[in-house]
Amino acid sequence: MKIIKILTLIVLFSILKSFSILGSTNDSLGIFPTIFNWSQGEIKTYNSSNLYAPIDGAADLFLRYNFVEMQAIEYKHDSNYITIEVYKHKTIIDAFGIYSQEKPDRDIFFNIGVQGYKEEDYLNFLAGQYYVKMRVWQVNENSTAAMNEIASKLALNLNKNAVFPKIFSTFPLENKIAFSEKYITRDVLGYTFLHSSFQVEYNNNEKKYTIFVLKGSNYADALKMLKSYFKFLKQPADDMPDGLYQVYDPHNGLITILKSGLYLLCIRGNAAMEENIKLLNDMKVKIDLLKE
Amino acid sequence: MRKAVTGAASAGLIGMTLDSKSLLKPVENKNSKEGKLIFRTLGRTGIKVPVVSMGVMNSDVPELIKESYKLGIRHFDTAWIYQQGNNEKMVGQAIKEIGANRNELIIATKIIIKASSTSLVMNKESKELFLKRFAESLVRLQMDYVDILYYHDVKDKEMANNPYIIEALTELKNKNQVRFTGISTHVDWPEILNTVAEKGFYDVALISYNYSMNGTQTYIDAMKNAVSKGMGLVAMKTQCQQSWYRDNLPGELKRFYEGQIRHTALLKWVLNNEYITTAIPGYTTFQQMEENFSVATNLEYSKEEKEFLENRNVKLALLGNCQMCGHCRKSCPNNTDIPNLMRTHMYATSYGDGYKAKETLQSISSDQSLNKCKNCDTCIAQCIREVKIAKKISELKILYG
Repeated sequence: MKIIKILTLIVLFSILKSFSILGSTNDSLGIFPTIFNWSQGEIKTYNSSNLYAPIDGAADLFLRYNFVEMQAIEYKHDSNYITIEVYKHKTIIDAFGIYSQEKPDRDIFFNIGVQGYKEEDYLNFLAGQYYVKMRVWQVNENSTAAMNEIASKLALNLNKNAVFPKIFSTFPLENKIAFSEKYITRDVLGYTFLHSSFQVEYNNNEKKYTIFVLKGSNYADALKMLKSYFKFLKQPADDMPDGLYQVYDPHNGLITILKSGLYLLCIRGNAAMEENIKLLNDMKVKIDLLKE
Repeated sequence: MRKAVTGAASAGLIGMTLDSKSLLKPVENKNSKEGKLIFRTLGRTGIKVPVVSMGVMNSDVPELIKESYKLGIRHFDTAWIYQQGNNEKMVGQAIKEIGANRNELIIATKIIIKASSTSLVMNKESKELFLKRFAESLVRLQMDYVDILYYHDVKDKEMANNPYIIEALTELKNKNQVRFTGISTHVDWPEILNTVAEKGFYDVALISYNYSMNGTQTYIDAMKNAVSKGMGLVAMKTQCQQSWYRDNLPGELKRFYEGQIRHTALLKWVLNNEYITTAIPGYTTFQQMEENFSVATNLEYSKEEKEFLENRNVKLALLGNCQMCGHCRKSCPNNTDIPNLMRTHMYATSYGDGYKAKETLQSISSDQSLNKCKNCDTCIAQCIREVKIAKKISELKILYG
């Protein structure tokens, strides 16, 4: 019996080896630069099963955005150190999504990768499908310079060509709250049936409103989202062609929707119907151009 | 492969039933009159709170907080680290817009102090950092004080007794910026809970507690001890939402993670523990909010919920694996990272997922990895859930050693 077990394990070992999954190094990304006077610690790699170990409950949100792996490293200099966490997500949009959940609502942004923001003891940025978070223990001239140097080199190593999601260029500029762009992967407006929302906040000095675009994976998926929403609100949902809809949502207020192919263009909170229609139609034209 | 493993694992679980330990009687009212909220008292704080509260953690919908308040939820839990502070901002703004009397709300936040090693956490800089971060939290929350401030993600008893954090919390209490102090802890918390209960400084503990811990007396004993010393206990991770409970499970088991029965049954199981005052499920939809809150008026299991908890496959999914409690770590003289090695073994053998197995193995520090395990024949590492550590590590050595 014991011999059979050992043989089984040997066979399994051979299978694993044939898939080339053994023997790779921890530094699977190969991205961490050498910095003068700062030594590199061990690189630790985490997957979806053990991301809780380094970041506790905050892991839940990363997992929602198709988290793939995280590599963590410390750069040390005397008693000081800089911790770096590089989160890899499945797609550029997923990485943007988690980045957008954490980015601030005030202008501490700077030009790095796709976009980044920093304060004296931390520096975070987005680079393609990677979200990078850096934090220094003791802030001084030397550690700030090191953190900036590591960030610049990391950004180059990770992705030189990634850009901000193009769909945000279709959103109106008037009344826009700066840096409010977000991507919500699921449970949009608090509903499981609404997903993949690109959204921006607005303020017209009288009230705040949100413009958001739900992107279906195809036409049927977009239709399903709309029908599910109307069914939930106990509204007729049998025949729902492309066009304008308006509905009162007891949890979220007035929602204006323009259905266009696989997109649902929506405004929440602005009661001026004519203005809503104009805003959504203008966006539709821009999105159609984007598709071409 | 999967079928064979499932069958083998099932055999070991056939004898498990919902016994007297798993269906504990609550201290205070188990069933209120129909529709009336069940309240419990949070230890020596004297705070009376509904048994269901809200973990805001993953939500980005402020209306969910407002609707929760309308339903009757009064305790909202957030943290300095969640969404880089955006979560606290959302809580603060939503509470402001609700316009509720601040005295009727219980707002909890948490401050995490991470460093490269315990020694670096244990210094005066940790106190300064703790105070600085809490000042940021108050600004984000738009509040003068919080009701509970947790020292977040305490990993061991030394960390729990960090004198610099205790100093910081004492100062904040004296300045009336914090009403009650707490620790939050995820792994191997019985020892941490016993330690802080003896010391008597912390008023509240936020602990991971769910059905996967069914039948493990160590947890019950630690809770009993803490409550007897006047601590209040709040439960998190109550519905096994974390990926390690379900990722890579065979398809036939995944379906048991779907639907309302799972949520309500698992939440009732936690709240039927006499030592838990309230739970903070981290819901993100209105439907989940209503499901969770339905439990707050009735903790009796329905027939379907009882069947769910007694289902052999559910037990297999929830109870069949190493739960990463970390209790075994201190029983290994070589400081081997046994929990992650157990997961490596699970991926490699139970699920035949060599890629995941290798990933998990690689995530272990070299000074705690497989090569640090010296001799399995004399292994003294102990699992409180009776996972066969030595046998599994010896099999891993054949695979990866």
